[in-house]
Amino acid sequence: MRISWFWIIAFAILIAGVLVTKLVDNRFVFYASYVILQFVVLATAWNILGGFTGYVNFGSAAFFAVGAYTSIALDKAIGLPLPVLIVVAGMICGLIGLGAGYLTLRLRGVFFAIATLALAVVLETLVTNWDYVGGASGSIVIPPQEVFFFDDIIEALFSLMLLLAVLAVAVARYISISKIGRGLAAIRDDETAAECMGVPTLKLKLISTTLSGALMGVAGAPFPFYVTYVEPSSAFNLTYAVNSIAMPMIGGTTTWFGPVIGALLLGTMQQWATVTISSELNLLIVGVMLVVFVIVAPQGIVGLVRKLCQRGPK
Amino acid sequence: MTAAAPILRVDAVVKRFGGFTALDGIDLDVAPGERLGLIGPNGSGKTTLINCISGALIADGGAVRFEDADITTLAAHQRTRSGIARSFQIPRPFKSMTVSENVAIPLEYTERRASSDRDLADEAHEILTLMGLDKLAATAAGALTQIELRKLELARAMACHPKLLISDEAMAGLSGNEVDEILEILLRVNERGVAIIMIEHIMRAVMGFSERIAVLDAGRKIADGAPDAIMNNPDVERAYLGE
Repeated sequence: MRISWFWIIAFAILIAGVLVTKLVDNRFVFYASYVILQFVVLATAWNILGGFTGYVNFGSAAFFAVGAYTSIALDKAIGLPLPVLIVVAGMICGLIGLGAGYLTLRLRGVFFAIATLALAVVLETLVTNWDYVGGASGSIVIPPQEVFFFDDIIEALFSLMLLLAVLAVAVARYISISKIGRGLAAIRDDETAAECMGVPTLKLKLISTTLSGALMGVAGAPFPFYVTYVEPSSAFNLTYAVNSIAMPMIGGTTTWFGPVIGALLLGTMQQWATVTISSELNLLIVGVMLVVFVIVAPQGIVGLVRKLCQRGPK
Repeated sequence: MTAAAPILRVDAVVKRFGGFTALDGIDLDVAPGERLGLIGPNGSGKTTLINCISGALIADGGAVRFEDADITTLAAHQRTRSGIARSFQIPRPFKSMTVSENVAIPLEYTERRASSDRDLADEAHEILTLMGLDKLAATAAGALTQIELRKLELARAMACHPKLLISDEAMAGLSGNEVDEILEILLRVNERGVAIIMIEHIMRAVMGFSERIAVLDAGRKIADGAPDAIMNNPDVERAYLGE
């Protein structure tokens, strides 16, 4: 019966989200929530490869940016509707994830992480020199002025990102409770042993990189319509890579809900700090939180709570 | 034993690491249900040979055949599924999982037909009982003692539904009683019709266990025969003790 509970809560969250767009007038709520939800998708996507499989990806920003630039290019070329752009961005980033995975997965540990960082640099260089999407000077995207059902574009984008977040979490949850997830956990613990126990490690790792990349692209696809002006240095910003790693680490990497907790907590703190103190404080918060959690709760919030629960009954 | 067609046939297998030839044309047959001891001095190529059989390494020359199928270039997980299981010299448990979850991974991934969670749990319990680990089923694998880890290695190998089990120094560093315990487990596994290749330095264990012994030295097989004959073989004596 756990499956139905998950979906009941998921639908309740979606309906509540749409209701909020009708009840709340404050635009800022939607602008801020959009960013937090975008990080729920990114953190969940990162965790499929980083947390479940044990391969640390430093190139999340590149997948996010490719998603964003896919939107820009296709919007400029044929003007497709946003849901289609999201699907196409997901497919392109999934393919990049598959290809990059095939090329880099023979590397392990820190070498894999460096390769993903290199991939990000290569993709950023390509986009910076691609004039069609504005090159280094960036590109302006004009979002549609009228949106079906919603009062304005930000309400629509907020609801859309909420849907994407729920879907991303559903995918991660499905993996974590399935045979694939158990195989990925075996790879994370000991890849050689896993292979010798009949686990098709290469195939499972490629599924992991493909899904992770696709979901990051999906998170980036609506981005141009949210900010309306995209340049390479904003889309490829280090913040995305750092947050995608920090949020699952703080929430807990071995479960599907760890990254959600981390993203909601850290994302909310960042939005709060941006308004009340300074927008430059974002990364400082991430840094301080990471240091604290590495020392106090290396298994993240989920691990900390589990530890306390185990200790409690005695 | 010799009458049956071999389940495993290693044919002139060569493995080089750079300029070093670790295996120099090894031939080895194993009959179904046979207990074969594989011995040799350190660095003679025992582990390299079983890596080439289990798929952790791919042979540079020669062929490995299992049940009449050429598996020379198959990936390790495919060989495991076709019935070759191994345990590791240094135990490699899945540390984030419990003992029974460790066993469930190979059970689930080598199952030929889809089976329910309940079947898997029953099967895991049966294997853990065979290994004497049933009381530790819910324990985290990271918390096991050395002998328990060795047993877990064998339990996971058994969970691969093997027809051939390769035991890579499952007893190294264990006390006398513990060695007997592992030997008894391996005999019980063999009684179920599983052929076993045992790599071991503990002579008492290999001699007592094996029906046949193959000896490697510097990448070549220098002897192959009944334990008594091997003990009196002058080449073997030379390999171990020098001229």
